[in-house]
Amino acid sequence: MIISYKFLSTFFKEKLPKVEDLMDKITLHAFEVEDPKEYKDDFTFEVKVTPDRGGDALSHFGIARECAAILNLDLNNFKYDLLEDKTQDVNNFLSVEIKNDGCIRYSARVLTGVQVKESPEWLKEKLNKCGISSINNVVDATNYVMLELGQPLHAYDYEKLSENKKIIIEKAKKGEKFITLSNQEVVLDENILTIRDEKDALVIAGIKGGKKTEIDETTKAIVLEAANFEGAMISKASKKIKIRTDSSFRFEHNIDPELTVVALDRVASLIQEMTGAKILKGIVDAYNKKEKPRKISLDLHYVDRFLGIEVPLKEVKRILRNLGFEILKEEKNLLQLLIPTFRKDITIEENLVEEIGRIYGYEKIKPVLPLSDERIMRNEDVDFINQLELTFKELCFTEVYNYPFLGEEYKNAFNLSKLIEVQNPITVDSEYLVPSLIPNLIKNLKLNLRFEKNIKIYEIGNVFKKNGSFSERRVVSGVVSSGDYLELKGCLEELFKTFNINNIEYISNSKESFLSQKKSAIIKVNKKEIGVIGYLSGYVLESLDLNIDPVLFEIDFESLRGEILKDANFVHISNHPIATRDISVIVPDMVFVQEVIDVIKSSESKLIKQIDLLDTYINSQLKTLTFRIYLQSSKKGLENKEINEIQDKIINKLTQNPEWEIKK
Amino acid sequence: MRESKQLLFFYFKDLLFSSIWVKIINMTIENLKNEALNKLDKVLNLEGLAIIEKEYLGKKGKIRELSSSMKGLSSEERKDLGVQLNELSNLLEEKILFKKKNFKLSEIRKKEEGDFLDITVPGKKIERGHIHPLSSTKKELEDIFALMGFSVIEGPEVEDEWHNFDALNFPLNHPAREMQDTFFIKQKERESLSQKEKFVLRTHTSNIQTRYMENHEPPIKIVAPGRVFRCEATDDRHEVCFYQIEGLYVDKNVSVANLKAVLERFLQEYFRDSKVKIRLRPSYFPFVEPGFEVDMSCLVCGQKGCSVCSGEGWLEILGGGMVHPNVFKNCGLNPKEVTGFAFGVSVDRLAMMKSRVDNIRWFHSGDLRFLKQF
Repeated sequence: MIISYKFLSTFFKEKLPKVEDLMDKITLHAFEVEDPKEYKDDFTFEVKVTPDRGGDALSHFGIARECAAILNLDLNNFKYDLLEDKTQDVNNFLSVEIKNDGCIRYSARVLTGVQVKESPEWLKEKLNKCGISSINNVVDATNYVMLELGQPLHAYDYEKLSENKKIIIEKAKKGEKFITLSNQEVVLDENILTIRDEKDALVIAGIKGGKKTEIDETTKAIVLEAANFEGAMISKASKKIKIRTDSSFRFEHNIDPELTVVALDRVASLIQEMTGAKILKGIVDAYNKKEKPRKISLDLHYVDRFLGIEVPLKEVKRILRNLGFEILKEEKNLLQLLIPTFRKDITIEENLVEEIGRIYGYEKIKPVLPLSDERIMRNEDVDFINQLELTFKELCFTEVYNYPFLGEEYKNAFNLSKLIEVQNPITVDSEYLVPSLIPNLIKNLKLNLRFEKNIKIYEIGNVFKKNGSFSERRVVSGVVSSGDYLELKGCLEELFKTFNINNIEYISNSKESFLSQKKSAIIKVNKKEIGVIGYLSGYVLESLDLNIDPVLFEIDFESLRGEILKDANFVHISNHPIATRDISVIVPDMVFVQEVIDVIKSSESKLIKQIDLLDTYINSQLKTLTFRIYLQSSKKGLENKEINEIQDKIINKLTQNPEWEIKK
Repeated sequence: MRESKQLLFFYFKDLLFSSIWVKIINMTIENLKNEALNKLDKVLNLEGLAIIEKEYLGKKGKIRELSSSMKGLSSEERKDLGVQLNELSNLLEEKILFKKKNFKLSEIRKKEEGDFLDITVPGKKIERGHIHPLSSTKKELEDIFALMGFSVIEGPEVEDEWHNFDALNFPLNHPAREMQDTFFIKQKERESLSQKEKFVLRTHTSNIQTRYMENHEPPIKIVAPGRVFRCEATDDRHEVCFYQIEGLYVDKNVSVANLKAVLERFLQEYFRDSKVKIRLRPSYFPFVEPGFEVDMSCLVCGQKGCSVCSGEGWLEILGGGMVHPNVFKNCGLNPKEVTGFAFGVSVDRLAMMKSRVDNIRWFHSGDLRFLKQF
């Protein structure tokens, strides 16, 4: 809301501080202030009134009340001189009926002998500075009073009302068409409140006036309306018809119903002053449930304890009075307070503590570090993430962060289902939550291949799936552009070693997924499935037009963490010499190396220290695997005889399979 | 000379008083010393040095020779002279060693004169991995808060509306609810579901606070880091998803003064500058009362006013306040018995400030040209 410095000054006898100082004060004690502008004889600035204070602070008067408390100044008493035509009772000319609770109060005056014309310069200027364009003197006067007091007002051409001059406030009919003052056609429904005569809707309540009763140069008599509506209802309606006005914006925040009459008198006197119009005697006022001001008792000890500073009683009382709170009773450390109806946001004691704290000044509170003796707990998940990040860094992987969204294109390419959908995605390619981190990692790969060839990236993040309910779990995934399965597997093996994860198996993956069926594996630890490793299916590669064949992995975070052995057991280091033997075995080319290794291990596992695959040679559906077997005892040096016996045993085991053959 | 001494020895040894003999040997030692030092002074290279070494210290050298000429003396006299001879021998050894080292050094220097290493050639490109800047920042923040006694707690990203809004005192249809543009999860007949069945992508990590308070008794002292989502147009400073770290401290007598101290200390630690100051401005968030916008003193200009702080000397850095009694009630705590403070700060923002990153969207770009800078 734009505030004019000069306009604001009219509420005070005393001079206000310089505009920069004033802006600072408002910022530190009430609302954020920005965008200062300088005019020939004025300044303006924008005050960002917080949503809880929209009911009382969205006006120059509202801000003046804040300034009075901040600066400890007295506000001018404003009284409006208004000359009523005592011979004509307004009730003979207008009646009002509220048919819906959404309208809390409806007050109106009738003026005759109005001359509609251009506004005087001072008025036009004031409105312009505050961002409202001038229309004519009557409409301008209503807008001016809204800026001044915060009460939205509306003026109707009296003669354009239907015959009985009766105003009815009720919900619109479903599908009812309405032409606004700005010639926009709006379709209303039964949730939208309207101000009507006996025939038509005249105004969308609290939001926008209609064409039918528009004020124009021929207008002679007017109805001035100051009403009060329930905020939530206005807010809903405004969203529904997508019209937001200075009026609806204020009503949304629940303004004070007591304000209608004050504002009505103000605007009537202003129009009278400008046009010499006659004001009919009295106000038509429908006010069904008058609000009673709330009472709250305030414990002064609590104020001090809560803020962490002692605020002098004199200051507390001064602040509360300046803000318009009435002190009803004062007993020991308790103040009994009457909360004015314009402060709807004050409902509990803590609200009052805030009022005292902010006006007194938060800068006066000295920082005090709290002393406490609660136990700090280590978060094992967060710890593990930190460790993983360090490990991946050592393995030359770069960490990426992706949005957890993907669109139709990737959903189809990766053949994904049971996805959680976002109702209001920000772009078309972000309507689903990711069920795997792989698709977006592939997207990263495509982007980065423009700049470099050898890419190793990973992400730790949540994946989402709809299985009846919504499930969310953390995974660790990575992609290597080289397509070197052994490189990636080697990295994972180092990772497992880092965390003392043993008993790892790679099992053929026959599941239907975006992975290649023949060129991927399920990773198991201690017989439990923890993740997958391998290549993408040809379908994905083709759908995404990928001209490389990356290799990737995805591991469930919780499962992985569950397999960590907390403390690594030190393995005794033997100083006895290590003996090596090389064995070459010829097997059919579809045999997994692990099968052969398992057979070797089964023969004499105790003394076998390590088995390395030295070489693989494939020739017409047969492959020759050359292993180097390291033998060592923890107790003694092995003799040649013993070593040969073990070698024979291994060869014996290997040749039990009729398809396998030892290369001599 | 040598012959003459020997002659003297042969003919007069029994006749002369041994004390005279001792005097003569004494003189001889003195002569030997002067002679040797003189030669060492003049020696020019390692070969010359070897000759001197042999002449005096060798098996058949002059010192040995003199030593064997003392056989006829009393043991006491021998001991005395022996000490002198030993001293001489040590002195010469030391001098020779020193000379040797110098000759060697200058020899090597001469050889090295032709050496050349281009120290300006760029180093080899060594591959290493990189941790995402938000990960490192998040960890740094968690560590700082751990030092102040806050435990790290996590929570779900897909959250029900109760824990994301209602429990936090966001009334339905209240303008405050619109302050945070929310991503809603598509659900059948959503409107008919209860608040605990309707899901959103969490708009803040306050859901962790509500969940934690439901299950724990005060004192509660936690920080809640995590990814949050806002359904809004992105620009240099706004992202659809970003990281937050929120703090919550609930105990019997927690005050605004405590909040000030914790936040000030935290910023001083993070920016490694004990001069960092903060100020609280009144603000509104439904879950706190009073609510604050927290500004920190601008470190770029030392509060003199610069482009970073738009001349203000202060930078808006985080939001916080005293936990609203309704939040306590909603989470099963008695607001009459406890008070507390809560605050939240954007991890992205803090990372940007420290590394001078100019656009928040880099963090989720997946662009290695950016990520490999960290």
